[in-house]
Amino acid sequence: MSAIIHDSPKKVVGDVAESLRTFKVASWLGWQIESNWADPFAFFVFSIMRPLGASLILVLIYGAVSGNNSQPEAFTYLYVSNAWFTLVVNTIVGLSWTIIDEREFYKMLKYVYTSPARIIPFLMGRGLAKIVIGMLTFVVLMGIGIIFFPMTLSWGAVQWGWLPVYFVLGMIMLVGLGLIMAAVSLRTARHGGSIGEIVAGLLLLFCGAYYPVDVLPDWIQKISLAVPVTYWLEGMRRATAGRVLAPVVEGHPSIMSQIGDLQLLGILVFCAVASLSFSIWFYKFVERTAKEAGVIDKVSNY
Amino acid sequence: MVEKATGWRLFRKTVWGRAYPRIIGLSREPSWLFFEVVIPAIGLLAYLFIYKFLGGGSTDRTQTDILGLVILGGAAVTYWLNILWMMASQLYWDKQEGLLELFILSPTSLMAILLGMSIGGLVMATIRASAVMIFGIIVFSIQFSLAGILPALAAFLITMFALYGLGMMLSTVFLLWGRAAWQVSLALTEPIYALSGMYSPLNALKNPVLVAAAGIVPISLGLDAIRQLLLPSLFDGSPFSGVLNPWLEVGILFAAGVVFNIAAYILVKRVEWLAKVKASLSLRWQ
Repeated sequence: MSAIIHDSPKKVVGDVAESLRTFKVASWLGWQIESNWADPFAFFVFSIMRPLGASLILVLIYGAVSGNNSQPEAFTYLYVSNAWFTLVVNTIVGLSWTIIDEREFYKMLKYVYTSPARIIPFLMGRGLAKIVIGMLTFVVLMGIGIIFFPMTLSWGAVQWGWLPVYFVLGMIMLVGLGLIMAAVSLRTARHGGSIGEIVAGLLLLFCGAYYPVDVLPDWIQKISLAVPVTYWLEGMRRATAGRVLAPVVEGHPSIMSQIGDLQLLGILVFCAVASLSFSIWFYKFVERTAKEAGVIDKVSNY
Repeated sequence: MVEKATGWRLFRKTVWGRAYPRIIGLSREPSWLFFEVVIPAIGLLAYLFIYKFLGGGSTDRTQTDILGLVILGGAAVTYWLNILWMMASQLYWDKQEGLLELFILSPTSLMAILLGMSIGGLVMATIRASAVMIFGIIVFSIQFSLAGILPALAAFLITMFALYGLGMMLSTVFLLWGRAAWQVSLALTEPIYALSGMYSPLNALKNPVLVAAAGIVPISLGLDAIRQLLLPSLFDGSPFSGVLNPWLEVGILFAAGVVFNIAAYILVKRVEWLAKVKASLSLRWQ
């Protein structure tokens, strides 16, 4: 017992140091895999094409529906939300795709598991490159939006105090969601896209990324209000625009406009802690079943 | 004594051999049904609510028709994803897996392998797209014009002829391109959704140059034609309209299909030459 007490702090420090080392090496590896196939400019152009395409879809739908009746507030809501949603996609996909990439493409997952590397810091490190790309993409999308489209934003209105707080809480929460998807990927085959992308697509429906949750039917609205990403996007929209965007929907005050800043903060703190704790437990649980079933290195090959 | 297959028999057996794992793979890994049909079909609803938020679809009938537009786009997405990930990127993936060397060494033709890949992919994508459509029709009560079903089916088949011709062509181009191809596949996903009008009518592009650029991807004109045929009340000019007469679009697609398939044949021969004579293409990590 005394040995455990004596050794524990040392072991904890050793664990943390080992995890940080894994994270650092995996981040470097992730960045190389993501970026070293092209020169920096080509890499950057390719990186922003997807989110730019997603924004273009929204612009086209807006153009098709609005015609000559301009709705800048609604457009700003759509555009800002979509720009932040890029980070949701990149974070969740960054972590979950790593499993497919390492297992099926590089065939290294079994070696990662047999090495002293810590798997969760490894996944987080490998996903970091996509998160960084997501942040750069956000900046580019907002720049394009402000220059070319009818947005109702101003620099002076940005809530610089809230912005980093919401951002950090959201990242913790999204990493948690990414880990859950990575765990699911561990037990499923290589499908057309990654599971992360499929789930990110599903989140589009529920998290109010493209519309206030008020426009949803009651039963979807209830699910939407239970999804943490809904609150994170609201926080990011508020911090970016300095106000609640689309505060009135179909003649009524929107649901999100009735949630104060501190209340929103409380919700996000709870979601971040719950998401990370649950995801680590869930990943470990699925990992154990995958090891027992012997599918850690099982490839799809069709 | 086993008789060796040669000539057309070998070609036919290769096509079936390559198509087989894709067709059978669906029954071996049923989780695709949930991840690639149910979830994406539910996700498509998001686009309906964008229309609702922006004030489109003021009546129930128009809302259902817009959902029909979106569901048809969602089914088309299945084919485009199949082209990108299971056609265009496939030879490159096979190379990294070490299978391309075996394909090149075997006495069969690469064209037969590509054709088998297309047929398998087409069956795979059709089952997925049908599931998305059936899900949409049952759950969201979408009503398509009965008179338009057979013409739409004809337009669909011509679209697939052009689309999979493009897929075979891209698979060789992507192979020659190397690792960048993977990133190109990723980067092209959403821009092509936007340009092809997967979630919005093609005429929302407004600019004729953009519409012409979109026409390079067969699914854009094909989808526009199919939507006009299946949702005539939505595409009668109010609120939306097609970019061209649907039969003119089908004619363009047929011509494009011939060009893509011939180009694929020429490129396949080039790939075989590079692999066999120059020995510079088929080895992993090259």
